Amino acid sequence: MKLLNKSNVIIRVLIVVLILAIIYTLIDKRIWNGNEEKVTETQNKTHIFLSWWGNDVRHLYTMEGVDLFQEKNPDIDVSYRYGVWSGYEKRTKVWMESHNEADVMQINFAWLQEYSPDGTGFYDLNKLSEYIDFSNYTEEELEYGSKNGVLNAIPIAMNTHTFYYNQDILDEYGMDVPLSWEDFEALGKRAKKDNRYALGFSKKQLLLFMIAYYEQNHAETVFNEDGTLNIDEKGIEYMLDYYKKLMDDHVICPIDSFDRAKYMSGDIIGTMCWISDTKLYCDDLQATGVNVSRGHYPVKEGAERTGWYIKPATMWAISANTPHPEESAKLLNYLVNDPDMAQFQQTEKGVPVSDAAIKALTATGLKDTNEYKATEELFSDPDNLYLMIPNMESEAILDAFKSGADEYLYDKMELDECALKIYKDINKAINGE
Amino acid sequence: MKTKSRFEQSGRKFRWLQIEILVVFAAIIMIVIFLLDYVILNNTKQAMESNASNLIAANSRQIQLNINSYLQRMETVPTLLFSDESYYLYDATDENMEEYDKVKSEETIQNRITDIGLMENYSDFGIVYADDHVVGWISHGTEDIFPDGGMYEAFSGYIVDSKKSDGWAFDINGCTDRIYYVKRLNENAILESATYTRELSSVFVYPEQLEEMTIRLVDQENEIIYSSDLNEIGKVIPAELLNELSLNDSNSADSSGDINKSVISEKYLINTNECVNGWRVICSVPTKIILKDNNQMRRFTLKLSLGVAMFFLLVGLEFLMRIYRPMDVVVESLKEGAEIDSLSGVRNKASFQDAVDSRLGVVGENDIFILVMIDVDNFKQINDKLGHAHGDQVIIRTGKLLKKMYEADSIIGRLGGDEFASFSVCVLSDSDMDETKYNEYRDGIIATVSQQLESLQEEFNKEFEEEKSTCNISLSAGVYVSEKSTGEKEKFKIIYEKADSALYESKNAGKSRYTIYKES
Repeated sequence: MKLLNKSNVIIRVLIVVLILAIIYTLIDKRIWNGNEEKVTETQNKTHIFLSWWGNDVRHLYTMEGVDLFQEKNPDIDVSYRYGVWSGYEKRTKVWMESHNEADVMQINFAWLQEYSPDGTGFYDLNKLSEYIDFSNYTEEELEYGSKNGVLNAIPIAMNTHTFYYNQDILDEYGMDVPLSWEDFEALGKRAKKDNRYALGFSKKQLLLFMIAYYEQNHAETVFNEDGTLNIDEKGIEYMLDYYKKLMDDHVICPIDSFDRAKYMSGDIIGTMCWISDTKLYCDDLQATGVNVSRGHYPVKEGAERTGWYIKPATMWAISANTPHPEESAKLLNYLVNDPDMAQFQQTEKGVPVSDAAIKALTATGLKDTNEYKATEELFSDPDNLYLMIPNMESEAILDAFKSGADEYLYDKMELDECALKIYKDINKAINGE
Repeated sequence: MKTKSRFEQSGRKFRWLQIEILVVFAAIIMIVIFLLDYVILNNTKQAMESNASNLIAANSRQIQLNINSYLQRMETVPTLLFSDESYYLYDATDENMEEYDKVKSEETIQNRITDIGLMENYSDFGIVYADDHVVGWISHGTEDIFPDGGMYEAFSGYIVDSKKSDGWAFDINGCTDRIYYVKRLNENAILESATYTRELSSVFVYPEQLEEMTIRLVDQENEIIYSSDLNEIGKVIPAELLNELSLNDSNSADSSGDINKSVISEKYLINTNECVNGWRVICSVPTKIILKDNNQMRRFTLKLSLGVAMFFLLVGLEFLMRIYRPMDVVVESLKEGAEIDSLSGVRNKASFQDAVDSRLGVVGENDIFILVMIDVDNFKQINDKLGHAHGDQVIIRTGKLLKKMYEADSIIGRLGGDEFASFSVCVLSDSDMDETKYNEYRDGIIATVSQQLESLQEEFNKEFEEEKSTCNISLSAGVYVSEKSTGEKEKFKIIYEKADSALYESKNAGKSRYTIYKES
């Protein structure tokens, strides 16, 4: 009887243990949590804007790069504004004047002078040294982005002009790559017979082309270092006269008629472009099966000045008004120093200045690129290249020269009258009138 | 059945009944829970599908509105070129126009484009003239689509709205990274604007809760313009989705057009909405994702119902144990009362007979069994001289003596009055024993039985020394020892008669002795 009672107790204890085990196993924690307060995590990201200009390739890789940046920095959300260069300066002016500029923005070298003459127009990047790795730059390179001793921008690459030619056409004409002004004139004369032009480029290249011609022939600069004109209307007249001659002789395609398609099709034999545009005018044409040759800028024999300039290709700056300087600095550092971003960018904006970017690209064939070769060649003689005066790229000055020149080119004004008009208009642009 | 006692059979039936009750009880609980689960979960499933469908429809509708807003903005900006005739009436192909006037006109148009182009992230914003001359921002990407010219003609083909003279285009000559809007300015000029499809990511915003939802913008040819799965861009929408949209029953999610609908199929929950330009937003989520929680709940409730059934089974078992344990005691008591002679403590005649018959049914061919019939001599004198109570005491003590003297596996019974019996079996391990050896073995058993009986008589005489002197009681016995089997099973009745006849011989021979039955 005692044995029976003992086994009953054991069975009951086992049943209770089993029931508790079943309950413990089966009851979902959510049931116990049913009355707990639910807290849904909401996105708490810092939103910053990025702006840049460029072409298809630049737009697409920058967007890809931004996507990766957001993956690497999930607490930062980046929106962007972008456009083509034409009109972008105006767009920037609208943003800057209305204080609606992006937090991180691509700026042109000339804009440092325009928007931050005293160094306060953009954020002082030295205050963000915790987030930006300046060790990838020399002091000289950082100096390009400084105004009044304040570091306002980081250069992406150094840039100057180079020339590319359709070698197949040159071969057809039995001519070599032009190296002098006379060579250009000869090529234009030959091209005219086929209704071709020797060179085609935009109004910016036009002004720089004419400045080089003037400075080589007059041993003086067109612009002073402070951006004012160093020449009078006679100097303008000199450039204008040669411009008309070049256009009439089919050395230069009319600015309004130039487009890349004509260069690609062979209607225009050569172009003067930024080294950073090598892909557009060299690689893309080579890709169609055409042999492309790189030329050198023309220099008059015995000239005291070459009249050719270099500048930081483009720069990244941070808005002085940004409410998110730290996040903006992280993005800026990513854009210039991150190896992944360097791979996206390649040499699209020229050979990068950042040591980190160069290191990343060297591993993937940097030295085989046309941009690298052009840079090596042109920068091999740095004493004959001068730092660009920002006003040389001023859209207002470019418009004043090009638009004024049209009056003479199309016989609407006399040479001296037109030169005086251009001179006055440029001075107005310089003075911001 | 004859070999089993009635009580054993009844007990077994009773236990089966208990198990059946428990199983039926648990089964009923499980069925009830399953039915409840089925009803509740089915309703929940329908509710979830309906809620998800509404959520996706709302989301799809929101994205449709976003896209409409985006597209309308893209259509509105170019209309600013109609603010002045010099912008939209200029014809670059006019041969009568002076070159200077053309340059200045295009300069004016370029400036206008520069101004209004600020408003969006355009990849292209320009005017294409009938001779393919362009003014404004025509990207290199677009130029490269037409390496042999034909840009104007191509864009003309996309102007499908005769009233507004405009249209939308995607995948022109394999270019799938941008969407184009074209609008005729005059008979020789078309405005072309384009944005990268990536720009649409800003309008494709949807709740993170709708994981694995794919949102697509497709054109009239069902080519994917943009998708939350970027790898799909430029491809045709999966055929199974198209099939679901066209073959399944649908309910209109929007009364504005037949094309707006929601479909819930086994595979997908799909919603489609048409945009202002005829493109469609298609949102789809695998149904299994929507019902993921429901399926989890289904598995959980299945486990829960099994657990609950087991719980009730165990609780029921406990209750049944509580209910039936006293009954078992009663039944056991009744059984014992029915099988055991209450006075002597050994089996009664019926129980003895059942037990012996049962044992006879399983004895082996060479096994030897022994039935001993024992009778108390002169027992009547005990009753007459010492009283019936003393007689009862003699029976009680005799029963105890027999249980003491015989081994535990022997069957002992009281067959009536002062008559007892013992039945035991000797199992022979050697099945191939020859007859001689068998008989030797049997003789050995008889000798053992004889010794046992002599011991029993000796013990009996000691136990009942007083009664023996008073009433001259003693023990007589008749023994039947089985012989080699002929193949037929022995019956109790037969061996009983044989042992009884041996007992009779002992009585006739003067009592207080035993006789081994021998076949005559």
